[in-house]
This record gives sequence, C-alpha cells and structure tokens, in this order.
Amino acid sequence: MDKKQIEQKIKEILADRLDIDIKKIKLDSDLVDDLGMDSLGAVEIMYEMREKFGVDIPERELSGIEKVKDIIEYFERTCNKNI
Amino acid sequence: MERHKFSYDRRGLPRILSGFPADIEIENPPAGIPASISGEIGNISSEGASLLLNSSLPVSAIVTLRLDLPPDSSPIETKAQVMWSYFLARNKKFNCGVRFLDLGEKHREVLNKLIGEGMENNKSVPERRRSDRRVKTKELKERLWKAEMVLKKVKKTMGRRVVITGLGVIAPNGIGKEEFWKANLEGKSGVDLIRDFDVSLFNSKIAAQIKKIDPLDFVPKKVAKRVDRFVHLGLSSCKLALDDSKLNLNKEDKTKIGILIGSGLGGAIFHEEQILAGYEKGAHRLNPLCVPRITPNAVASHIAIQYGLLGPNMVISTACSSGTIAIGEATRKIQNNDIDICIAGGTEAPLTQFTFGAYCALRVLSRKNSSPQEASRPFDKKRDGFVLGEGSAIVVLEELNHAKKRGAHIYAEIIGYSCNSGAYHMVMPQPTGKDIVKAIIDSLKDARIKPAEIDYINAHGTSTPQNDRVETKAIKEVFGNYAYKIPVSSTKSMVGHTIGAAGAIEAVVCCLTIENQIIPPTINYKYPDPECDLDYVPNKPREAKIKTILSNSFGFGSNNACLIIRRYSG
Repeated sequence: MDKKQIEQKIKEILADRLDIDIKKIKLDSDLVDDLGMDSLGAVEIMYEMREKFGVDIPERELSGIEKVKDIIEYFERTCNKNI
Repeated sequence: MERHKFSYDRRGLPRILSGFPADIEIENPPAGIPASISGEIGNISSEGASLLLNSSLPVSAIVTLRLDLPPDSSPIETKAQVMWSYFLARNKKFNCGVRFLDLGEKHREVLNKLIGEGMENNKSVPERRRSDRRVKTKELKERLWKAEMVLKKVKKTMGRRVVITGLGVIAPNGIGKEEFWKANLEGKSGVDLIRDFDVSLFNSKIAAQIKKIDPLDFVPKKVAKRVDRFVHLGLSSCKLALDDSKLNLNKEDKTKIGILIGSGLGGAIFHEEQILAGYEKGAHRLNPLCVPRITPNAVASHIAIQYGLLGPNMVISTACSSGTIAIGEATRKIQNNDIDICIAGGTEAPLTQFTFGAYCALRVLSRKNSSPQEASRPFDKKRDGFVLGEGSAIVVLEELNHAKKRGAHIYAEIIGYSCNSGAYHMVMPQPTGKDIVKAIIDSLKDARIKPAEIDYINAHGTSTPQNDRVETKAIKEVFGNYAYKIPVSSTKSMVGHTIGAAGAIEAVVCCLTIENQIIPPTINYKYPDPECDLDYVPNKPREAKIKTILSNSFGFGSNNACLIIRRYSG
C-alpha cells in the first residue's frame, strides 16, 4: 500500500466515524480541535484500524498522535517494520 | 425494688426523682390539718426536697420530715421548713417544697453519695451543661423548621396535576401518531414472518417488526453509528414527541426536565453480535463501544445528551410493564415537584436470533406462522401465545400550569397510578389475580374515582392463555357486573408484545382514544372463550363517549402497573 492509499483509507475511517465530510479532512487537521474527536471516537478509530489493517495503536503512542498526518506516519512506521 | 432514677434541675444539679416514701409530722397543726401526712419524694437535693403529699401544708410551717431512701441507705429524719404548697390537678396531690433545717453532716453525705452514685449509674443520662435551655430552644427551633419544611412541601406539591402534551410513537403498524392511529382504527396488524435472521429451527417464525425506518431521519449520523436499535427507536420517538409538544427547550429550565424510559432488555442486538464476535476473534477484540451500546440506560442518556436535559435520568426495567411504570413514576416526580416536564415512555428492540430463540424456548410465543397477521388474538379461545415485537413510544408529561402557561395542546391528564408485585412467579401470573385486583383498586384510589367512572380499559391482553384469563377475572372482581359494560380492548392484537415499550404505546393509544372518542378494536377475535366473557370491542373500532381510561400492564416476574388517564376538562 502506498502512502496515497493509506491516506485515503484513514480519511475514510475518520469521515465515517466522526461524521464529517471527507474533503474537510486535511493532513494538518487536529483530530480533537478540527475534527471533533472525543475519547470514545478515539477508541472507535483505534478499533477500526485494528479491524481493517491489523494495526494496533498502543495507548502509550496515543499521546504523540494529534493530527491526521501523525496517524499516517505511525501507520507507515509500523507497516514498514512489519515488512 | 427499682433503683432510684435521677434527673437534673434547671441549673444542671442532680436530684433524686422517684416515688420513695416520705412522712411528715407537723408540730402544732392548725385546725383542719392532720398532724401526720404521708406522701412521696418528688425531687431531692442536699438542700431540700419537693414532696407529693396527700394533703396541703401551711407555708412556713416547721415540720419533721422522715424520708425512707433506698434500702441500702438509712432513713433520714430532719426538721424542715415548708416553702410552698399547691394542688397538682394532674395527679391529684399537693406539691410541697421543703428546705432542710438540720440535716446532719452524716445524712448530707448519704444524700450526696446517693446523688453521686446515681450520676455514675445513669450513664444513659446525657451530661447537661449550663446551656441546657439554649439547647432545648435549638431543638424546638429545629423541630419547628422541620414542620415548616413538611408544610412547605405539602403546599408545593399540593394540586400539582400532570398532563400529556406530546406523543411520539414508532410501532410495527405505524410510525408517528397519525399513521399509527389510522392503522389502529383500520385494525392493521404489524406482524409478519421474520426474514432478518434464520428462524427455520424455531417453532415460532413471526414477529411485529418496524420495517421502513431510517434512523438518520431522526438521529444524527455520528450518534446513529454509536447506538443500538433500541436507542434508535427511543431517540426517534422522543424527537416525534418533542416536536408534537412544540416545547421550546431553549426557553425551559433544563434542570427541571427529567427522562424516565422503560426497557426490558437494553441493547440485545449489539450484545449478541459482540458475543458472536468474541467467540470468533477472542474476547480481547471486542468493540470498544460494547458497554455504552448495550447498557439499558443508554437510551435515557442519549436523549439527555442530545437535548441537554439535566433532570433525573433513568431507565426502568420491569419487563412488560416497564413503559407504564416509567410513565407512572415520571408522573410522581412531577407531582412531587422534583421536575416540571418529563420525557417518559418505553423502547424495545428484541428481534435478534438469540433473544427471539430465548422467548421461543420459554414457549410463550404464538406459533400461528401460517397467517402471521392473525397470530396475536387476545381473549380469543384459540389464542396460543404472544407475538414478540419491537417499537417505542414516548410521551411528554408536563405539570398542568406549566402546560397552560405556554398554551400547549393537552391530550389527557394522568390522574391515577399504581404498581405492585405479586411476588409469585417469574413468568406465570398469580392464578387468582389478587395482585392485579389490588393494582387496579390502588390506581382507582389514587385517582379518587369510583370504578363506575371508567369508560374503557386498555388491557394488557397479551394473547397468552394465562394472562388473558387472569386479567379478565381480575377486571370482573374489581368492577362486578359493571365489568360487562366496559369496553376492553388489546393494542397487542395489532402491534404484538413490544415488552418495555408496550405500556408506553398503550398510553399513546389511550390519549388518542380520548382525543378522537373512538375505541380501537381487539383484532383477530373469532372464537369466544367462556373464561373471557367481557366486551373486547372485537375487530371493529367503536365510537363512544370516553372520559376516563384504565390502562393495565403486567410484567414477567409479577410486576403490575395501572395508569388512569382522563380527558382534560379544566
């Protein structure tokens, strides 16, 4: 999966779970401030990631994830490691 | 002999308080007064005593006093001066006060010792301080304050009447009050074969389902994704009810708006999905929203969150009577002045394979799969069980003056409510129906009306052999011959048994019956049962003058509840 595809997939999950227009999700969008994610939303998104891509985001990593691009970066890191 | 008791005088000094004998001899008694008088000690200290005597004493007279104190002390004899003497009407004796004149040192010690001992022996007597009187005043003030509070409460709650000002209903035979009422008058059944899950192995294959409903019509998408179907239905009927009531929530004190919803099972559908997922993938991979989706109080909480309502918020789970009890308890909360408005009702979505299978295993469901719409036939001789259904109904309850002030449309007034338990069986009704009789009578008493004032009974009427028989019996016991004159009909003949929502859907039917002055029928009534011989309004609606309605609900586990709903007439 290349970076564009991952980005698209993650945006889809965010749009679906947080009920926002996918076009409004930018790489620089803040998950909480711009996209209105609450704690339940966060666990839901973690759950979706695990179900769809088999990528587990451990809780200690959560503090480092603030923006959409952080998720994608984390994603690439773990995927590359797996490969 | 009982040990002497101590009390304390105003200054906090101890005295002997008892009925020990005291004799008095008077030197040179004036005419009319005997030389020797007997009596008993009232109070005593080492300075003097008050005595209860059989006759009066001249004040200032010098007398010889003989006291017989407790057996372990020696008798005391002393000269004493009479200080006062008056007649005590209470015990018909003379109360005389005397001051000891020559109480010897020895006797003084005896007395002091007795008093000291008494103080030690009477641990239960609280130590009094000089501020005794102040304490007493404080106590009195507190009692007065409490009494004032009670009076205030009585005044505050007196005359608080509760009316229904909004109806929201999502039933298997109609969504919204207009469609639902039309279906009721047409005798339209909402029962059909189940196609959403596999029922091939079950004896019963039918249910009352809500087919065309899109939660997104009523609920924001973000919420819709996070809740189970019973919350969808609850939120949807709540929106309908609030729209119908025309309440402007922004103008209301939201702390005075409560939510009481009935639900028997909670999020059964998601629960089942997650159990299956857990077995498949492992329990460590359950959905993080499992708990907030399954919990029965999700419905009340979601309503509160959506509308920002800050009053009491709860879900009542008493099986088939949940909806009725929720409305009844909400009525009480408004009557008690806890809140002014309450969103009350019930919601249930039990149609999922395991839950349906569980009801099948209980053998309470109708097996008339050949013609689903005719399966639910309350009071009919061939009835063979109820039809499980899903649905929701919510009513807006409001304090009468509050409703009048904002010019709300008043559907009806709730004038009576009762609930009790038969403490009998988890599934069967008490065969004599005595608990049901009591519930009906209690609701009539609560409404302060005579049985003959009931114009229509919306029965629990589940279509199980036991319920319909016992319910009929109980109605006959309460109403006597008048029972045969009251129209009785069962909404469940059309919408099946929606468990936690049933009572609330039936309350909506009662409001619409009063509003339109037409009684909806009991459909599928073909074969009269000699044990069920009342007027069940068979198959066709009936116009009638309806003022007061009794609505019955009896839940599994012998939970009975009755509501009395009356046309509002000023």
